[in-house]
Amino acid sequence: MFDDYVNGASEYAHTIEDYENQAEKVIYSSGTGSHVPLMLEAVEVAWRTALRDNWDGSNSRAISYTTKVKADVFVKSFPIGISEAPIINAEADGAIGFDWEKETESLSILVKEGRLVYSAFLKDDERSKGSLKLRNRLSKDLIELIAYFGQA
Amino acid sequence: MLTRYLFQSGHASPAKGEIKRQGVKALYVESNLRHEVSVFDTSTLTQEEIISIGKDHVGKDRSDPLKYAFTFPEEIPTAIGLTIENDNAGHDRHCNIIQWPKTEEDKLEKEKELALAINSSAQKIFWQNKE
Repeated sequence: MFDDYVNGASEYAHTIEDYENQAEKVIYSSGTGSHVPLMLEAVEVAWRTALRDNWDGSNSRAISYTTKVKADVFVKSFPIGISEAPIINAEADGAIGFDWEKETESLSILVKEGRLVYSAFLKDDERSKGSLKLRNRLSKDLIELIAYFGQA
Repeated sequence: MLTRYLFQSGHASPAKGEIKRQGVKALYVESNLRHEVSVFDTSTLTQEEIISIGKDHVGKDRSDPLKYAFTFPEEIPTAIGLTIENDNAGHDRHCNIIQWPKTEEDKLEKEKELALAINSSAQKIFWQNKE
């Protein structure tokens, strides 16, 4: 179901390390570019919201600076052509969350320290989920999901 | 009935009267070695009494005011494999939603399921602080 979007994925949207080498080229040559500064600002706000443990009641965790930096890099690695930015929130477990909604469908991605976790609820009760280390290549499934939910 | 109190504006959609998955985020509690979502058994209480617990008990040590309260049947979490445990921690009506999946992706999926189930319930009661 994602074939139309896979073809639009940025050649740089594969690994975080790829991004680090090609950052400016990706940000300013892609359709995602116009959203990137706002998304980075939202990541900054989320991080500052949760600077200390217990910021959202007992047992809530601070968002580490490492998580903030990893979330920055993740934002900049989005596939090319994204026109819908996610809602970015501080998470009470110390993660930074990225959420897209399309009617009854949703994609949730959590970045925490060096890991990324995601869960998608799709049409016809189809679901997808997974986790990966942020230094590893983003999975094809995840790139397709971001491209799909990032379309207007 | 159970009530979940929320203090972050991003944890609900007031226009839709819906709780977001962040509103039922299961947090790791070191003393119990497990993930929990804190709720209150508000069966038999009036809406005024329910909000009073949120403002005067749950919110008493917080800098942010109570923003939202969602009241829903306890069958909603149990129907998706979670368990309710009354632990009386600090309040005789305090409970935890427990038995969350072990992996982070399964836990995230379950949180989304729980939010969806609460929002789909005809018995859900949504309260928003308009002060």
